[in-house]
Amino acid sequence: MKLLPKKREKTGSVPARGSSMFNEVFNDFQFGMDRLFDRFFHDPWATPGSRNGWGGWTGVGGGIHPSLDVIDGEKELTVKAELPGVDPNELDITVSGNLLVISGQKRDSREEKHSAYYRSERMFGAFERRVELPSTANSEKVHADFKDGVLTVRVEKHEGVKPKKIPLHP
Amino acid sequence: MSTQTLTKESRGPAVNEGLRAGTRWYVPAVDITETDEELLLVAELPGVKPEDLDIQYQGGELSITGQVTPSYPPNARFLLSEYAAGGYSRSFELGETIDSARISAEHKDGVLTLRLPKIEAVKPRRITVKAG
Repeated sequence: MKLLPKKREKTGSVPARGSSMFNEVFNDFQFGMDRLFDRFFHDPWATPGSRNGWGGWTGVGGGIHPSLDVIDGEKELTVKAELPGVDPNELDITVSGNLLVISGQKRDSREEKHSAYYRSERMFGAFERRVELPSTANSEKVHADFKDGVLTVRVEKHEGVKPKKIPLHP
Repeated sequence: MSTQTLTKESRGPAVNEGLRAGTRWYVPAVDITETDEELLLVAELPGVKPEDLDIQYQGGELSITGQVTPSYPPNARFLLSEYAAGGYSRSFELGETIDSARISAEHKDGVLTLRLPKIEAVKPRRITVKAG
Protein backbone atom coordinates (compact mmCIF):
# COMPACT_ATOMS: atom_id res chain seq x y z
CA MET A 1 0.00 0.00 0.00
CA LYS A 2 1.31 3.40 -0.98
CA LEU A 3 0.07 6.43 0.81
CA LEU A 4 1.81 9.04 -1.31
CA PRO A 5 3.22 8.95 -4.81
CA LYS A 6 6.97 8.76 -5.11
CA LYS A 7 8.62 11.70 -6.78
CA ARG A 8 12.00 10.20 -7.43
CA GLU A 9 11.86 9.94 -11.23
CA LYS A 10 10.83 13.55 -11.67
CA THR A 11 14.13 14.90 -13.07
CA GLY A 12 17.46 13.45 -14.05
CA SER A 13 19.36 15.79 -11.75
CA VAL A 14 21.03 14.62 -8.58
CA PRO A 15 19.03 15.77 -5.57
CA ALA A 16 20.65 17.96 -2.95
CA ARG A 17 22.17 16.13 -0.02
CA GLY A 18 19.64 17.44 2.44
CA SER A 19 16.67 16.32 0.42
CA SER A 20 18.00 12.80 -0.08
CA MET A 21 18.36 12.48 3.70
CA PHE A 22 14.81 13.59 4.04
CA ASN A 23 13.70 10.93 1.59
CA GLU A 24 15.32 8.23 3.63
CA VAL A 25 13.66 9.31 6.83
CA PHE A 26 10.39 9.69 5.02
CA ASN A 27 10.70 6.24 3.50
CA ASP A 28 11.29 4.77 6.93
CA PHE A 29 8.18 6.47 8.15
CA GLN A 30 6.24 5.25 5.16
CA PHE A 31 7.51 1.73 5.68
CA GLY A 32 6.23 1.89 9.23
CA MET A 33 2.86 3.11 8.05
CA ASP A 34 2.72 0.42 5.38
CA ARG A 35 3.37 -2.20 8.00
CA LEU A 36 0.69 -0.79 10.23
CA PHE A 37 -1.87 -0.76 7.43
CA ASP A 38 -0.83 -4.17 6.17
CA ARG A 39 -1.26 -5.61 9.61
CA PHE A 40 -4.65 -4.02 9.92
CA PHE A 41 -6.01 -5.10 6.55
CA HIS A 42 -4.30 -8.42 6.04
CA ASP A 43 -5.05 -9.78 9.47
CA PRO A 44 -8.78 -9.34 10.04
CA TRP A 45 -8.30 -10.62 13.56
CA ALA A 46 -6.23 -7.62 14.43
CA THR A 47 -9.12 -5.60 15.73
CA PRO A 48 -8.43 -2.95 18.34
CA GLY A 49 -8.59 -4.67 21.68
CA SER A 50 -7.36 -8.02 20.49
CA ARG A 51 -4.00 -8.84 21.94
CA ASN A 52 -1.82 -9.21 18.92
CA GLY A 53 0.23 -6.11 19.36
CA TRP A 54 -2.36 -3.91 17.80
CA GLY A 55 -4.18 -3.47 21.10
CA GLY A 56 -2.76 -3.81 24.56
CA TRP A 57 0.92 -3.88 23.90
CA THR A 58 1.35 -1.21 21.30
CA GLY A 59 2.52 2.11 22.58
CA VAL A 60 3.30 5.38 20.84
CA GLY A 61 6.77 5.64 19.39
CA GLY A 62 7.57 1.94 19.53
CA GLY A 63 7.27 1.68 23.30
CA ILE A 64 5.15 -0.89 25.02
CA HIS A 65 2.16 -0.31 27.21
CA PRO A 66 1.17 -3.34 29.30
CA SER A 67 -2.52 -3.78 30.08
CA LEU A 68 -3.62 -3.38 33.69
CA ASP A 69 -6.55 -4.42 35.82
CA VAL A 70 -7.11 -2.83 39.23
CA ILE A 71 -9.63 -4.47 41.53
CA ASP A 72 -10.94 -2.95 44.72
CA GLY A 73 -11.56 -5.90 46.99
CA GLU A 74 -12.90 -6.06 50.50
CA LYS A 75 -9.54 -6.41 52.23
CA GLU A 76 -7.06 -5.55 49.53
CA LEU A 77 -6.47 -3.86 46.22
CA THR A 78 -5.22 -6.08 43.42
CA VAL A 79 -3.26 -4.75 40.46
CA LYS A 80 -2.65 -7.15 37.58
CA ALA A 81 -0.37 -6.44 34.65
CA GLU A 82 0.15 -8.55 31.56
CA LEU A 83 3.88 -8.84 31.02
CA PRO A 84 4.52 -11.91 28.85
CA GLY A 85 8.17 -12.56 28.19
CA VAL A 86 9.46 -10.12 30.78
CA ASP A 87 12.30 -11.47 32.89
CA PRO A 88 11.24 -11.07 36.56
CA ASN A 89 14.76 -9.77 37.28
CA GLU A 90 14.08 -6.86 34.93
CA LEU A 91 10.84 -5.92 36.62
CA ASP A 92 10.70 -3.02 39.12
CA ILE A 93 7.77 -2.42 41.43
CA THR A 94 7.89 0.63 43.70
CA VAL A 95 5.36 2.32 45.96
CA SER A 96 5.87 5.87 47.11
CA GLY A 97 3.01 7.48 48.92
CA ASN A 98 -0.05 6.24 47.08
CA LEU A 99 1.67 5.90 43.74
CA LEU A 100 2.44 2.40 42.50
CA VAL A 101 4.95 2.26 39.65
CA ILE A 102 5.50 -0.86 37.56
CA SER A 103 8.42 -0.53 35.18
CA GLY A 104 10.97 -2.67 33.42
CA GLN A 105 12.46 -3.94 30.22
CA LYS A 106 11.19 -6.52 27.81
CA ARG A 107 14.09 -7.82 25.81
CA ASP A 108 14.11 -9.32 22.37
CA SER A 109 15.91 -12.65 22.69
CA ARG A 110 15.32 -13.76 19.11
CA GLU A 111 18.17 -15.53 17.49
CA GLU A 112 19.77 -13.75 14.58
CA LYS A 113 20.27 -16.91 12.54
CA HIS A 114 16.53 -16.91 11.96
CA SER A 115 16.57 -14.78 8.88
CA ALA A 116 13.14 -15.29 7.35
CA TYR A 117 10.29 -13.66 9.21
CA TYR A 118 6.68 -14.69 8.65
CA ARG A 119 5.21 -12.80 11.59
CA SER A 120 6.74 -10.20 13.85
CA GLU A 121 4.04 -8.99 16.17
CA ARG A 122 5.63 -9.04 19.59
CA MET A 123 6.77 -5.72 21.00
CA PHE A 124 9.93 -5.11 22.97
CA GLY A 125 11.45 -2.28 24.94
CA ALA A 126 11.03 -0.32 28.14
CA PHE A 127 7.70 0.18 29.83
CA GLU A 128 6.28 2.05 32.78
CA ARG A 129 2.80 2.17 34.21
CA ARG A 130 1.77 4.37 37.15
CA VAL A 131 -1.26 3.61 39.25
CA GLU A 132 -2.63 6.00 41.83
CA LEU A 133 -3.89 3.92 44.71
CA PRO A 134 -6.96 4.98 46.67
CA SER A 135 -6.47 6.42 50.16
CA THR A 136 -7.60 3.12 51.68
CA ALA A 137 -4.37 1.47 50.48
CA ASN A 138 -1.70 0.65 53.05
CA SER A 139 1.50 1.16 51.07
CA GLU A 140 3.49 -0.56 53.83
CA LYS A 141 1.84 -3.87 53.05
CA VAL A 142 2.43 -4.73 49.42
CA HIS A 143 2.95 -8.22 48.01
CA ALA A 144 3.89 -9.05 44.44
CA ASP A 145 4.18 -12.23 42.45
CA PHE A 146 4.82 -13.00 38.81
CA LYS A 147 3.38 -16.11 37.21
CA ASP A 148 2.76 -17.17 33.61
CA GLY A 149 3.52 -13.68 32.38
CA VAL A 150 1.08 -11.92 34.69
CA LEU A 151 2.24 -9.71 37.55
CA THR A 152 -0.09 -9.54 40.55
CA VAL A 153 0.47 -6.82 43.13
CA ARG A 154 -1.68 -6.96 46.25
CA VAL A 155 -1.93 -3.91 48.47
CA GLU A 156 -3.60 -4.39 51.82
CA LYS A 157 -6.18 -1.88 52.97
CA HIS A 158 -5.94 0.11 56.18
CA GLU A 159 -7.97 -1.52 58.89
CA GLY A 160 -11.00 0.27 60.14
CA VAL A 161 -11.56 2.33 57.04
CA LYS A 162 -15.25 2.83 57.28
CA PRO A 163 -17.38 5.49 55.66
CA LYS A 164 -17.90 8.37 58.09
CA LYS A 165 -21.34 9.84 58.22
CA ILE A 166 -21.39 13.61 58.12
CA PRO A 167 -24.40 15.11 59.87
CA LEU A 168 -26.13 18.05 58.25
CA HIS A 169 -26.70 21.18 60.32
CA PRO A 170 -29.60 23.13 59.01
CA MET B 1 16.78 -19.35 1.98
CA SER B 2 13.09 -19.34 2.77
CA THR B 3 11.13 -22.27 1.45
CA GLN B 4 7.71 -20.77 2.09
CA THR B 5 6.82 -23.32 4.70
CA LEU B 6 4.06 -21.25 6.20
CA THR B 7 1.32 -21.12 3.63
CA LYS B 8 -1.58 -19.45 5.32
CA GLU B 9 -3.28 -18.68 8.54
CA SER B 10 -6.69 -20.02 9.40
CA ARG B 11 -9.21 -19.38 12.10
CA GLY B 12 -8.68 -20.93 15.48
CA PRO B 13 -10.65 -24.14 15.98
CA ALA B 14 -11.92 -22.98 19.33
CA VAL B 15 -13.39 -19.88 17.76
CA ASN B 16 -14.98 -21.85 14.94
CA GLU B 17 -16.53 -24.44 17.16
CA GLY B 18 -17.61 -21.92 19.76
CA LEU B 19 -16.00 -23.83 22.59
CA ARG B 20 -16.92 -22.50 26.00
CA ALA B 21 -19.54 -20.13 24.70
CA GLY B 22 -19.50 -16.82 26.45
CA THR B 23 -15.75 -16.67 26.95
CA ARG B 24 -13.67 -14.13 25.13
CA TRP B 25 -11.07 -15.30 22.68
CA TYR B 26 -8.01 -13.34 21.79
CA VAL B 27 -5.51 -13.66 19.00
CA PRO B 28 -2.09 -14.03 20.61
CA ALA B 29 0.81 -11.99 19.27
CA VAL B 30 3.33 -14.26 17.55
CA ASP B 31 6.77 -14.12 16.01
CA ILE B 32 7.45 -16.78 13.39
CA THR B 33 10.92 -17.19 11.96
CA GLU B 34 12.53 -19.82 9.79
CA THR B 35 15.93 -21.37 9.30
CA ASP B 36 17.00 -24.19 7.02
CA GLU B 37 16.32 -26.62 9.83
CA GLU B 38 13.16 -25.42 11.51
CA LEU B 39 10.34 -22.97 12.04
CA LEU B 40 10.37 -21.15 15.35
CA LEU B 41 7.07 -19.86 16.69
CA VAL B 42 6.94 -17.66 19.77
CA ALA B 43 3.48 -16.77 21.11
CA GLU B 44 2.51 -14.52 23.99
CA LEU B 45 -0.10 -16.16 26.21
CA PRO B 46 -0.14 -14.23 29.49
CA GLY B 47 -2.19 -15.86 32.21
CA VAL B 48 -2.34 -19.31 30.59
CA LYS B 49 -1.19 -22.10 32.87
CA PRO B 50 0.96 -24.75 31.16
CA GLU B 51 -1.71 -27.39 31.79
CA ASP B 52 -4.35 -25.23 30.07
CA LEU B 53 -2.37 -25.01 26.88
CA ASP B 54 -3.33 -27.20 23.93
CA ILE B 55 -1.06 -27.49 20.92
CA GLN B 56 -2.02 -29.69 17.97
CA TYR B 57 -0.46 -30.41 14.62
CA GLN B 58 -2.73 -32.38 12.37
CA GLY B 59 -3.08 -32.56 8.62
CA GLY B 60 -0.53 -29.82 8.19
CA GLU B 61 -2.36 -27.44 10.48
CA LEU B 62 -0.88 -26.18 13.71
CA SER B 63 -3.31 -24.89 16.29
CA ILE B 64 -2.60 -23.28 19.63
CA THR B 65 -5.34 -22.86 22.21
CA GLY B 66 -4.86 -21.52 25.71
CA GLN B 67 -7.61 -21.31 28.28
CA VAL B 68 -7.57 -18.65 30.96
CA THR B 69 -9.51 -19.16 34.16
CA PRO B 70 -10.66 -15.80 35.48
CA SER B 71 -9.33 -15.30 38.97
CA TYR B 72 -11.66 -12.49 39.95
CA PRO B 73 -14.72 -12.90 42.11
CA PRO B 74 -17.90 -12.34 40.09
CA ASN B 75 -18.76 -9.21 42.07
CA ALA B 76 -15.27 -7.67 41.81
CA ARG B 77 -15.21 -3.90 41.69
CA PHE B 78 -12.87 -2.73 38.95
CA LEU B 79 -11.10 0.60 39.36
CA LEU B 80 -9.40 -0.03 36.04
CA SER B 81 -10.08 -2.78 33.52
CA GLU B 82 -7.90 -2.90 30.43
CA TYR B 83 -8.10 -6.57 29.71
CA ALA B 84 -10.91 -8.99 30.26
CA ALA B 85 -10.04 -12.59 31.03
CA GLY B 86 -10.27 -14.79 27.99
CA GLY B 87 -8.58 -17.56 26.11
CA TYR B 88 -6.23 -17.48 23.17
CA SER B 89 -6.56 -19.28 19.89
CA ARG B 90 -4.71 -19.21 16.59
CA SER B 91 -3.98 -21.67 13.78
CA PHE B 92 -1.51 -21.85 10.95
CA GLU B 93 -1.30 -24.02 7.91
CA LEU B 94 2.20 -25.36 7.55
CA GLY B 95 1.61 -28.07 4.99
CA GLU B 96 3.19 -31.49 5.35
CA THR B 97 6.63 -30.02 5.92
CA ILE B 98 7.05 -30.49 9.65
CA ASP B 99 8.50 -33.53 11.38
CA SER B 100 5.72 -33.77 13.94
CA ALA B 101 7.53 -36.33 16.08
CA ARG B 102 10.29 -33.85 16.82
CA ILE B 103 8.14 -30.77 17.64
CA SER B 104 9.19 -29.35 20.98
CA ALA B 105 7.45 -26.80 23.17
CA GLU B 106 8.62 -24.64 26.03
CA HIS B 107 6.50 -22.35 28.16
CA LYS B 108 8.03 -19.64 30.31
CA ASP B 109 6.78 -16.34 31.76
CA GLY B 110 3.63 -16.48 29.64
CA VAL B 111 5.52 -17.09 26.42
CA LEU B 112 5.24 -20.30 24.40
CA THR B 113 8.20 -21.26 22.22
CA LEU B 114 7.53 -23.95 19.62
CA ARG B 115 10.31 -25.52 17.61
CA LEU B 116 9.00 -27.14 14.46
CA PRO B 117 11.76 -29.11 12.72
CA LYS B 118 11.37 -29.56 8.98
CA ILE B 119 11.27 -32.93 7.32
CA GLU B 120 14.41 -33.85 5.38
CA ALA B 121 12.72 -33.52 1.99
CA VAL B 122 12.11 -29.79 2.33
CA LYS B 123 15.48 -28.81 3.76
CA PRO B 124 17.75 -26.98 1.35
CA ARG B 125 20.59 -29.20 0.17
CA ARG B 126 24.06 -28.18 -0.84
CA ILE B 127 25.39 -30.05 -3.84
CA THR B 128 29.10 -30.53 -3.82
CA VAL B 129 30.83 -30.57 -7.14
CA LYS B 130 33.59 -33.12 -7.33
CA ALA B 131 36.75 -32.00 -8.94
CA GLY B 132 37.28 -34.12 -12.05
